[in-house]
Amino acid sequence: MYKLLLCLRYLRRQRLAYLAAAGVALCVFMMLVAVSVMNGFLHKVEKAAKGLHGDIIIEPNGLRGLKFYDKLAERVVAEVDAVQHASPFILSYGILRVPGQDHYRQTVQIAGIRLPDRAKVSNFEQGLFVQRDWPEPTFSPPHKDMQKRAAEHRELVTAIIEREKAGRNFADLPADKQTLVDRLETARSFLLKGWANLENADTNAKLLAELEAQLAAADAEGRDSPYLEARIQELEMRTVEPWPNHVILGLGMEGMGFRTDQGETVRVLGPGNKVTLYVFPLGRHTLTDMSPNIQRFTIVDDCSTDVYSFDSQTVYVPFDALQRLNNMGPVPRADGTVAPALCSMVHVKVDEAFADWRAVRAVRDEVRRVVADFYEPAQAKNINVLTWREKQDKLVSSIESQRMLVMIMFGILSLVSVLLVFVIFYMVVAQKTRDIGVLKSLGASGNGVAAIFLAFGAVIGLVGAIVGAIGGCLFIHNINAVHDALYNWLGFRVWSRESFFFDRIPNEIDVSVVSLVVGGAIVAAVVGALAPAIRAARMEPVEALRYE
Amino acid sequence: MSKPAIQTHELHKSYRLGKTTLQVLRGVSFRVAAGEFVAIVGASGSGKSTLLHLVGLLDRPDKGRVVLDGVKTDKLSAGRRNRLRCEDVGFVFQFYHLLGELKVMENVLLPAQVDTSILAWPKRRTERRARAAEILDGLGLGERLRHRPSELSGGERQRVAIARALMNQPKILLADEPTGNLDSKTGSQIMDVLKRFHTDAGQTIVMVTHDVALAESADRVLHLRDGQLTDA
Repeated sequence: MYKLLLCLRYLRRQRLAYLAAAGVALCVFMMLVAVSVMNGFLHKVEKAAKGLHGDIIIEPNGLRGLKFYDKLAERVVAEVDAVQHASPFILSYGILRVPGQDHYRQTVQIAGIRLPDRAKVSNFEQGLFVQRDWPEPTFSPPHKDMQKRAAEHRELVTAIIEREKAGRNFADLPADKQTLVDRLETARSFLLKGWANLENADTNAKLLAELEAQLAAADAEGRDSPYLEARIQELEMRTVEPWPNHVILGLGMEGMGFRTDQGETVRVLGPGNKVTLYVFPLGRHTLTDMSPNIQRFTIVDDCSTDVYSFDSQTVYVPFDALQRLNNMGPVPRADGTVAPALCSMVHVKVDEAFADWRAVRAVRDEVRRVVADFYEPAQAKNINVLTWREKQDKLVSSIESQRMLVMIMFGILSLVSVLLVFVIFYMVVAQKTRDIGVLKSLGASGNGVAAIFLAFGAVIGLVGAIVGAIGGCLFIHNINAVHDALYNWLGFRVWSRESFFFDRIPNEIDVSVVSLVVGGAIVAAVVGALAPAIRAARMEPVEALRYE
Repeated sequence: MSKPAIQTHELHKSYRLGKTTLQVLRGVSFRVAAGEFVAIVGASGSGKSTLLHLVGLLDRPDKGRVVLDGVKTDKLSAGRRNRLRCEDVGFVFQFYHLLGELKVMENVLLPAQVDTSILAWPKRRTERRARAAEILDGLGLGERLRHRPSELSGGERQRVAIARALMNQPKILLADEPTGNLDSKTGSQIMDVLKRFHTDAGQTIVMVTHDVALAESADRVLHLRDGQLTDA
């Protein structure tokens, strides 16, 4: 009984104990934050990689393209039980321009996808702006939904302008605020234009048809009509492009949007605005024929996969549109047959039950078998079947080794807490030498005395770990707010989205990590207390009583 | 003749001091009958405390044997010695040796807690507390139960230490210069307390002191000189 009593009393009366607990808390805090951020980072990369490619990728060597993809997808789904869905995908490259903005050009990756199929192989719909979480997103969402979002976003931009101006005239603002307000005003006017394009879609389309008919008539009569041509050109900037010329932009593309100090995302171009894509066809053309295919698109939505490096340079267009622009469509041959259409790769979605990467590997082998069976041997040998993990191996394994490095570094740092507890307990035992002598003179055993100090250590570990865990969880939960506050205060960013792929610092809290770290801290504190406790246990009562 | 409370046979004890060996006890034999109050007088450094520690099982002799209430203690395991010390021996030290973190009541309860497991404690708690309160009340400390040792005077602290030593109703009370740290008035009050326990409850007491006058109040006085015990 005396062990518990003394342990509690020492805890209450020994200031040094708080220092030890604080040390443990600090180590738990550091460890938790480091591991959670790294883990969250890894999970985000995994999720993003899966979101991008599905669980398994079937792709040919080089850029030659994959034929009979729909039949192959059907076969894979039919023959491999674990496969839920398979969908063809085209990846190409091009330049994005904004009509009327001559200075703007941006190199982009163009992803040709099928909607709503895409939502079945990845969590594409979760990152959409207009169609967020719609079970069946499309490239032609209803105009009223696009307009609603465009209008809402314009209101947000207006509110930010008001906030930044804070009642001052534009001329009275500091230079950096002026630049910001200028950008916001540009965004607002573009958003309004996009909204108006959607609002007047029918009228504009009708007018355009009329003008084109007039132009055709004039052409037929051999008349020059520069006025008509100019009007048509001007009107084409405002019409809504017919299917399939609809594009979903990646959120965060240079110049298409930006982020305020307060963390709001401002879109400069939104639903209803138009862009032009210059696609360099990867299809059947020889290297000498690489002139781009040019097509105007209407923006219908935007999408964030959370991977900054991907979002900032990817646009999504309908599979058929890109197939055509990429010269991958079916081509009649001279002998009357037709060369089959091509895609870049097929993405395969595996049942959640097989989501573990080891299980995915087994599924991959089955898919491989189907592919080998499907194509002729000569073709099949040029086709790779990879899991998402293999596809992203370089990235994922480099992050994994970074995580290991961070864990080792912080693990070594955490030895400090063991050392701290050791030193403090050594001092406490020295201070309490006479008490130990008294206890032994009262008949307490060596083990009993050791138990007091071990329990003391465990409680210190527990208290420190709980405090550190609560602090760590709160910190991780609010890590982005803290980061923004630091940026506003000190003016520099620790987490730059350019170098870490993601916009926001991952803030996942994994219960198993928390319990592991907490458990580790308690064990560390007990280990730190062990040597002093043994010293106390071995102390000769007479020596201890004589101690001054 | 009944079993003596304490019997020692040829106790030898030496300490190493650097390269030399200091022979403190050179064959000390004595008996203390149950209910007897014995004072051992000696100059400081004569080995009085060492003798007391050997008798109280806090230390082991180099040679010789301590028999407590008929139990030969030299062959006992550490656990048995701990139990014996807890149940049969009470110590009073010159410097009180109270635990500063504990209140008066808790200090006195400590031997009872050492004797009782955490599971058995709740059952015995009330009875033990009652006994502690009774002893403290008898020593005039009834109002001081919730004070810490640092809030008490020297005399009060020593009375708390006596209460603690008597908590488990030990067969033997060993007092090591119990008044050594007190002024003569308070010292004689402490002596009165010891005498009272001796006469009223028949408590066996062995007290060591350098103060011959103080020793006079004992039934019997032994002198420790040159590592040997003599009657005069």
